[in-house]
Amino acid sequence: MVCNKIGKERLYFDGAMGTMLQNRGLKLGEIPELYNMTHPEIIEGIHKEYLEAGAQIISTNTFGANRYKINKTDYTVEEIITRAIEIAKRAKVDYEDTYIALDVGSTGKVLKPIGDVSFEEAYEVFKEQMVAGEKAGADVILIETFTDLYELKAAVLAAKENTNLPILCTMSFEENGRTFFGTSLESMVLMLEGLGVNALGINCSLGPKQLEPIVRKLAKIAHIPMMLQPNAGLPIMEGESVYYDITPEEFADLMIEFAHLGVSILGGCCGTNPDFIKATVDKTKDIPLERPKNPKISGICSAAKAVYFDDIRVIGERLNPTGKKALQAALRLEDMDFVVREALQQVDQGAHILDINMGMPDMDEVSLLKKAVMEVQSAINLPLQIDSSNVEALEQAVRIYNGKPLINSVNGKKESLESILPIAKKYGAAILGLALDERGIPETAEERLEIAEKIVKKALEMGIPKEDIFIDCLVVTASAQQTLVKETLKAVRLVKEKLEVKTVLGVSNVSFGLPQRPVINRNMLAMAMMQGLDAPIMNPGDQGMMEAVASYRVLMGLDEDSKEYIEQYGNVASPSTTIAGNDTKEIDVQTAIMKGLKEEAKEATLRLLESVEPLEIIEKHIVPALNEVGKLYENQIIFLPQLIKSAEGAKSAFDVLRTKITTEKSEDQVEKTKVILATVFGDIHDIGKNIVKVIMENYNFDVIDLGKDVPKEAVLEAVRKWNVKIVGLSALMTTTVSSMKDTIELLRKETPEVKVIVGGAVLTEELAEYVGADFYAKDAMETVRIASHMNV
Amino acid sequence: MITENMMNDVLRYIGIPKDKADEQIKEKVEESFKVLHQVATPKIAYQKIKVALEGDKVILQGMPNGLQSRDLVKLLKNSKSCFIMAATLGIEVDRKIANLQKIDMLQAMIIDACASVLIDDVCDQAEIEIMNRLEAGQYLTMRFSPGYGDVPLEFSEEILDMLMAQKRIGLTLTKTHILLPTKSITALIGLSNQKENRQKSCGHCNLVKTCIYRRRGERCGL
Repeated sequence: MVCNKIGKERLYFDGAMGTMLQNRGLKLGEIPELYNMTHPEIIEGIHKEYLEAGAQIISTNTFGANRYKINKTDYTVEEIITRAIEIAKRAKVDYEDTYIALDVGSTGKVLKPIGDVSFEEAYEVFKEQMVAGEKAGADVILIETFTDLYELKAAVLAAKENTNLPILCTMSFEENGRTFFGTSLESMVLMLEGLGVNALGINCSLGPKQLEPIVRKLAKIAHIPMMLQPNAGLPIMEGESVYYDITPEEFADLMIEFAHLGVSILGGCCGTNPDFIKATVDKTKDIPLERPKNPKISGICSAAKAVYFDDIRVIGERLNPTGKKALQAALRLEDMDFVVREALQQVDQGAHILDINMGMPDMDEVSLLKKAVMEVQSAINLPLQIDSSNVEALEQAVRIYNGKPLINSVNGKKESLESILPIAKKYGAAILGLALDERGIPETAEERLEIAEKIVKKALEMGIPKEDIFIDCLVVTASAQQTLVKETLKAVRLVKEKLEVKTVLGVSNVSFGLPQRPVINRNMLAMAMMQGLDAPIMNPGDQGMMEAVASYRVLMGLDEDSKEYIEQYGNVASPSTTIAGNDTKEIDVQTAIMKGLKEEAKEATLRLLESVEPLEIIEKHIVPALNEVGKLYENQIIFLPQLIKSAEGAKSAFDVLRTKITTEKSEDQVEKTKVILATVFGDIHDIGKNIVKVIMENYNFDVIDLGKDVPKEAVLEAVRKWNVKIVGLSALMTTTVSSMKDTIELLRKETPEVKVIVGGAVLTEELAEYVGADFYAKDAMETVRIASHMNV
Repeated sequence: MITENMMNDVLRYIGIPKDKADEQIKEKVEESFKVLHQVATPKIAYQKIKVALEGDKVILQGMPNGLQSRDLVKLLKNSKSCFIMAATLGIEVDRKIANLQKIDMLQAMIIDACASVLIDDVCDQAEIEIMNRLEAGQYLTMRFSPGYGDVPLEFSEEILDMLMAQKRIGLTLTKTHILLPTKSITALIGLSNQKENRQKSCGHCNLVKTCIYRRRGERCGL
């Protein structure tokens, strides 16, 4: 069994398949996998050459054997893969102790929300390959040349959940240490080790020389066997052909170094041939395999960024609708832009990790949390702490999370341990355990330690490594249970000392019911850090608390030479006592909107609110300003940039009023016309649609934005769900105009009362007529004008 | 470096007529280019391949069936080979523009325009590189991209496959053949034995009837 050898002895893979095929007549742009059907003898010959050179594992000619590529041919994915494995089996008949790797490359598609393939779809595509491979008799699965960690996760899950084969994974890195998609080496390691693959590593993109620093770094952070398949140097174009710039000898000399670094599996990628493999085997076979023994550290990651808990880590708490009216209102409209804005703000404020909780009464938490995680993870680089009391919501969100998340939370209750820990184990997530059980939160520190101990024990039994277990000793409110606060602090210390796991606390709960909460909060934080708190869950916008963290890091020697402290506070007179604002000149709302001054529009609206009702501000100040801006735009005195600027100015004025209206539940609720906007199915360009959105929102429309690449069924569903009478559709490409037509046809049939406005770069009056729209709008202002004149 | 042409192109994309741009907006454009340069990782791959013409069809080296296109046949009438090209600014540019749309639409729109101009410039630079290496009597035709004239968007896939662009520069396609990262270009340039008109003509453009630039007596710059 190859499984027993991985990491125990050095193993050799083969080299390039594509390069070999090109030398044997494969034409540029031809599908190499078809050679399994048309030229099996050539494939078999290549395998044999590699086996003869000393390769122990040969990779099948199936790199691109996924349905996106293969469905264009006369064969099925299963046929191609089955044949590929048959050929490999034939080739290795005379070579003992050799194995077949099912080669699986990237689909060549990008996952949502940036691309047009859902995580689930990618999973299905890979599943088809994995299942066919195991059935046909592959010994191991090689998932290689990935550049997107997210797609890699789909592939690994497809292999894990549908086969029993060992899994090897490699990604391709650029010289800057990241993949084309921005995946970092650390993130790859954290996620793949969590998912429990058998080996991980680096292949393709560069030659061994350029890869050296990256492999060195990998050898310092990996805990499982490493694998390496470099190219034969860098490609050089000469006339109509491409060749690579190093010789087999040079290649093998560099591989010696990697053998000494403890890389378990060696092989080659683009440009290599059996000579490269033979030279590598010859020069490294006598170097004993000594895998690096790296210390285990707690860490979680997004695709781009790993966060290790070797320092205080601030977990931002703002993505949680509890007690936040504005966020609740946004979520009711499924407005993910609002959620992403909140996330971006916390990034700016210095959070290291963001907690994300979408629990709201009468909303579908499962789909909402999943959607929010998808949007937030594509917008920001920080890892997420996925927070829900709904097991289903947790599992779904953890599954589609791009990286290694922290799960918030499990607790000492039997039911919780049994349902949550398996999720953490399966997806390789870190887990936060709350020190409470069937009895509730115990009073004494010792009892909380006991529960924490139980959680740690259960998690370890389950196979979750200790560094992935975090404990929250639970903060109580000082106003209600004053004597228990110190028990929390003591519990933090006990858990740190006795269990040696990382600790987390939702610090600000302590001050509920007391005046000047920030004062209590920042002092509680300082005290907790002294007891060993690693990661406070807090509002990173709370300056006092952030200062406490910065000070703690200086005083405990974590911030070397106080560098970061000086950088942050070196130019601030007196940190928490400075009060922002108030230095803006007094500009009235109308002027601020006309000039597009966001801050000023906000300030002016706040001032007006002291004496004027919200509705009157809208009617007498904002609307006239917007009308004036609209006129100037029509007359080409101002242009699109100024129009957008004004709209954003108006938006900040509206935001003030909205907060006022929602907090006071005043009778002033303005009934706004709802409009659905969508970029049609197949089209991923949406900046035009988003400009329309910004403008419409400020002419008093409630815009329900369905995003880009929206299937017609989703438009119909939204029309019914929100009972909307106006739909705006956008298309940028000529090729997607047909899906605009399909969408309108469906709406005509199912909801004939709905009016459709179309726009977008390729649209014209004639095309609008062709697709059956009611109106064509040449720009955002015209959309507003058309929609305003509809009696709906 | 931001040339005057690049600046003018950005201004046109964001809807400001040439004579109506003030210093303030020009500064904003320059700032936006700086932001863009921080996130963009321009990459380009190109290769010379043989080309043959058969009636209405263009047959590129290795293509079994060839591509039906009168426009390409016209473009390549004096060419025995051509360059295929794929370039991208990288996925971080898409992320940046997407994020900015949520917090500052104006900035997003300007950077979006800058990115369109920059990716064109990346191809222009590569073209100059190619031109500098031409032998006497060799000339380049204009750069022709899928989606232009009668060349279908689907042709991008052939170009990407031939260049192995996904592996080499991280450029992919959606199922509907839209390039991803979005600020990317695929193109074909003929290697001609005569001096060619490199100016793109509005006649090939699908928007010729409705073009606002033409109405204003300008050109779109594409």
